[in-house]
Amino acid sequence: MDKKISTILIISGLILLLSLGVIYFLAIPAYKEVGAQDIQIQQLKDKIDDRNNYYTTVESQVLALEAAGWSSKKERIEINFISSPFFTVKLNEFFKTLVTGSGMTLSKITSSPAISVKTSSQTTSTSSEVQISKDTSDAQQETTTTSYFSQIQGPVKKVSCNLSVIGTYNSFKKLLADMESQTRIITVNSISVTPAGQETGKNASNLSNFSLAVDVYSY
Amino acid sequence: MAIEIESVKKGGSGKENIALVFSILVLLASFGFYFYYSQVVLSQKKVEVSNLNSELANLGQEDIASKEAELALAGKEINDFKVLFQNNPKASAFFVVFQEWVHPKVSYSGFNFDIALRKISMSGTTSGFQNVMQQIAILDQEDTIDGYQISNVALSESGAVTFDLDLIINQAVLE
Repeated sequence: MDKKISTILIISGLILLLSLGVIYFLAIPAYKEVGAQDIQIQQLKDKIDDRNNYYTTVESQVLALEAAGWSSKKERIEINFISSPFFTVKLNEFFKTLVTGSGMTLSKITSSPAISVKTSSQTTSTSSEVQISKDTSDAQQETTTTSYFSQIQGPVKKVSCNLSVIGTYNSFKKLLADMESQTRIITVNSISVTPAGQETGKNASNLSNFSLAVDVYSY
Repeated sequence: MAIEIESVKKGGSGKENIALVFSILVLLASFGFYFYYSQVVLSQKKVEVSNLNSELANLGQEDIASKEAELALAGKEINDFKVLFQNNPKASAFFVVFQEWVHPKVSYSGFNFDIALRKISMSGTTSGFQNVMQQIAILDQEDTIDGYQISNVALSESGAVTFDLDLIINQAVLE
């Protein structure tokens, strides 16, 4: 009988050992794998939430743009951000219309090829010797223009144009005001004024020649 | 006596049987635990992961790319227009202030205006030195002028005084 008891106890012990083996080698890894899956599920849920939030933000921004009337405003300012093979031709026509509308005559227009604004010169300096000045500290003046072109995000290019127009001083002031009120941005770089009679040899009364160097922009 | 011996034997055999049954129960529980986690819970989790992955893959594929592109383009155009517009000098403003400080008896010609440098060069003509001095006094008082230079002052035979005037105007005038 003792032998039978011992056999039962040994079998029980072996079964318990087998149970520990099942727990250690099968059940615990399965439990850990479930835990890993839980972490993956949580990460996926977080990712979905993040993406949903992002899409919601995109949607709300698109709606905000639409509510702000972006489509109509875009049409107005887009003239600064378009480019076409006929850009120069259209530009010449634009300036002709503008000059004529100001009561002046466009005698000549030249334009340079479009170049990226980011590659254009950014620093200018000058020194002026002031003989009579209200502030002697201004005698040596260095103007460093921190270029705002570095803030440009898009592929903005500029076309430099030289306009020669003939008209009166008041017409020219109107032309400048008209240029500044356009949705097409026109940057006037320099202005030169000479009496109209100087070049034509005629006595041209109050007419003057105005030379303007301007920049206009495109993408 | 026989009864006593038999009762001892029964008690001992019962404990071993309980141990055996307990160990079998533990084994069954171990397998049950393993099968529950590996076959039921884990497969559910895998299905859930698969569903979430497909949900993630299908999320916003419809038109989000076009909306993103629209927003990016709008952002660029708004920013670029703002930068160009805000930094565009208003040359016409100079002519408003010019009329305020120009001496009525001095006429100017040969006008050159470099807007980036804010520098204006011109030639003045007047009937006497007094007008030039008065013009200088006006320029001294003028807040819109940062600095000026008068040079090549000359008196012609007809009594006219000519001079060259270079000005640096204040940045605020062009804003």
